[in-house]
Amino acid sequence: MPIFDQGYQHWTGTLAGHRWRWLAVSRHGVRTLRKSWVVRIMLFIAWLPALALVAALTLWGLLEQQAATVVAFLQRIFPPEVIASPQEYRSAVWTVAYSYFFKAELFCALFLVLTVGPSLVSRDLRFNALPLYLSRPVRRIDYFVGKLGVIAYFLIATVIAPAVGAYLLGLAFSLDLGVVRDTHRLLWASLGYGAVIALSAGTLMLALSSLSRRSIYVGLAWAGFIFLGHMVSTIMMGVQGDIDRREIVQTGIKQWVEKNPPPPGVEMYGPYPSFRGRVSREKGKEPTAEEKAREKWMNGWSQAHGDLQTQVETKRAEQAPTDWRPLLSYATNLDRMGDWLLDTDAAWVTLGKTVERPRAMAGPLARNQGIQISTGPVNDRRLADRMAWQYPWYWSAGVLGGAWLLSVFVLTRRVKSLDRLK
Amino acid sequence: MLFRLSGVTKTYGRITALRDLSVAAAPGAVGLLGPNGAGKTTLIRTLLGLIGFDSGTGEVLGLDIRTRRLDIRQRVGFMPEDECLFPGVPGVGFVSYAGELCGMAPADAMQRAHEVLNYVGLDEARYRRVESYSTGMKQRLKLAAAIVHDPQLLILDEPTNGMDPAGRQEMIDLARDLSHGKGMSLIFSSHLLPDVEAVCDHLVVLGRGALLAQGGIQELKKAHPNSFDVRVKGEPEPFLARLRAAGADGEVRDDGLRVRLPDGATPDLIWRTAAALGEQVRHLRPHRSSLEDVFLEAVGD
Repeated sequence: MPIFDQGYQHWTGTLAGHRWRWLAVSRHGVRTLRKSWVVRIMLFIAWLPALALVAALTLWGLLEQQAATVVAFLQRIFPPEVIASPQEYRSAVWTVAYSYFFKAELFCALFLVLTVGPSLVSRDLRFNALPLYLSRPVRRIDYFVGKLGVIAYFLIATVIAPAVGAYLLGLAFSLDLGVVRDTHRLLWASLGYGAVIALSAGTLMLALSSLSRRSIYVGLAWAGFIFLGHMVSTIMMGVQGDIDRREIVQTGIKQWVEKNPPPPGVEMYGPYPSFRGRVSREKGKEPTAEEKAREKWMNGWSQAHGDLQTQVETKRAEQAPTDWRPLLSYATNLDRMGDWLLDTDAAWVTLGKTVERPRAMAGPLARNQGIQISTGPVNDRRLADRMAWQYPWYWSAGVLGGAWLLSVFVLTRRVKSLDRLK
Repeated sequence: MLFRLSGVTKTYGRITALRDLSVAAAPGAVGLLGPNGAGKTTLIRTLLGLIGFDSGTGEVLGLDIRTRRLDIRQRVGFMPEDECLFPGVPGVGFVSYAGELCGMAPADAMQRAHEVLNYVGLDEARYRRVESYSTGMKQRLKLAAAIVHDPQLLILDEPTNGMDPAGRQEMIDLARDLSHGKGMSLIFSSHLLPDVEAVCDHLVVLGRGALLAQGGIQELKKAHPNSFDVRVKGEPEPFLARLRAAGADGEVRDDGLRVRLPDGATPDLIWRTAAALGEQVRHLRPHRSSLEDVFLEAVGD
């Protein structure tokens, strides 16, 4: 018996309207999940890429101010024209830094969703909590949005908040308001990309969570969907790339060998030559005619092989815009949306131009030195083709949109109203 | 008016759950009775605006059911029959969350949760996770969650299900206190007639989705002026035969006779018949319907 029992007292406070009712659901979910030490650790880990982003933006800010130690450090990485006028490459470097940050955060975000999401609907189904929600002034849409809000909260905390924080810090270290003019696009792109990740991954996880009353199965389904899909996509792309490479290199080398038969002692294993004999020469001793012929032949093979590799690269670049295999990976689809929103491709083209002319000049010189540098003509898109996804962004938007619609359908089927017979 | 339904029909496919139902109740404690499948749960869900209906009109607390569903649910507290919980929270978190879902500010909801948990007798268990509560504690927790926002109307669906006798009595006492002591209107749906009789003043009896009986419990348990329950010392059959010969009617029951006197006759006829037979009357009182009689008569059993 309480010491001071007033019995039942009427309550005279004011009840809020219905518009923000979903917020109560989100607030409760966040409150409950924030107590989990696993979630706290994941939040901590998810902030680490932000530190790297801050460091990158700060370094660039110091380079723009021509800080001696930073210039000395960065001139080993960047071409001289970039070091000489870093302001011109500010937008491209910030974009690439944000691109890498989001790639890391995407990985963290998918793990975080795995940590916070599986129990959101499945436990409500297991403990039959839906009548408690729906018999109060809460609609199904409030319930869905409220649960999505829980995932969105954690993704905002790990994706958007660090991106914005890093932006402000980068701005502070640049000491130049022109940064805002050059890079404000990244801020909006970060918000947009964060919203895409939260909406897509959140709805997908809620749909999976509604399919089982046991959150462990939901977690396994999410992990399978994300990681198996990515694995299948990567393997298929690798296999296709290997097929193309073999086709071009083997055919080309075969034709070259027919025109240039290998010298005595050299045997071909597929497209690769093998010499069974002594390769090293005694110091000061002139090479024999046979050795000279072999060296000449080997240089010819190396040049032919290099040219064929360039052909492989060109073919891959031609095929990339129509390659559907990346679509099998959910993470890649999100990554592609990030590339589009950040305009990563243009940033890589800008940076690619600074390295492409030196590469084109160095290639032929390095050919006879045994250094593998592509020998093709100047191609300003070479770096962008390698570093950014080239298939149309709307393919990924379509896949993510389809997954979202399917998720909403599953949710509405699994989380039913009470207008049915039991 | 607490609620009013007019010509409401609700079907689930080929099954008609409510059949042209017209019923109204004034503020107070209303008992909802009916056999399984009578439409009690459908009626409650209709009143809460949880389900749509095919035809008819209705209002609860003066609010139209079709257009003001959320407003109705904000003014009504509902304690569902099923075992249902917000998982992973302590008792006080459960009740305060229920308050927040009704529109209370978090701080208000938490303060109010402590108050109502004291009221329902869960003050000692408020920080335990709800999954560890016993059945009786869960029922009281659901009651606390239903009254946290101080509703004008409280709907209790089988509130004493699964409770031991002491817990059941506590739940009845709480329901009666809320309805008669605190002025909260109540709809009390139960299979247990003594529970309904202990809590409610009015009764609505449903059967196959239609209204079978309705009214104040004391009115329904009416006295029958020409009908008497009689027990005699000897065999009841000869006594009844003699009464029939005198123009009365009746039947032998487990505990004696139920005698219906002809119009204009008085109990004196029973005494005179006993005297004539040399029989001793051990018990004589006017017949009054019990709630069970009312229920069985209404459902036609």
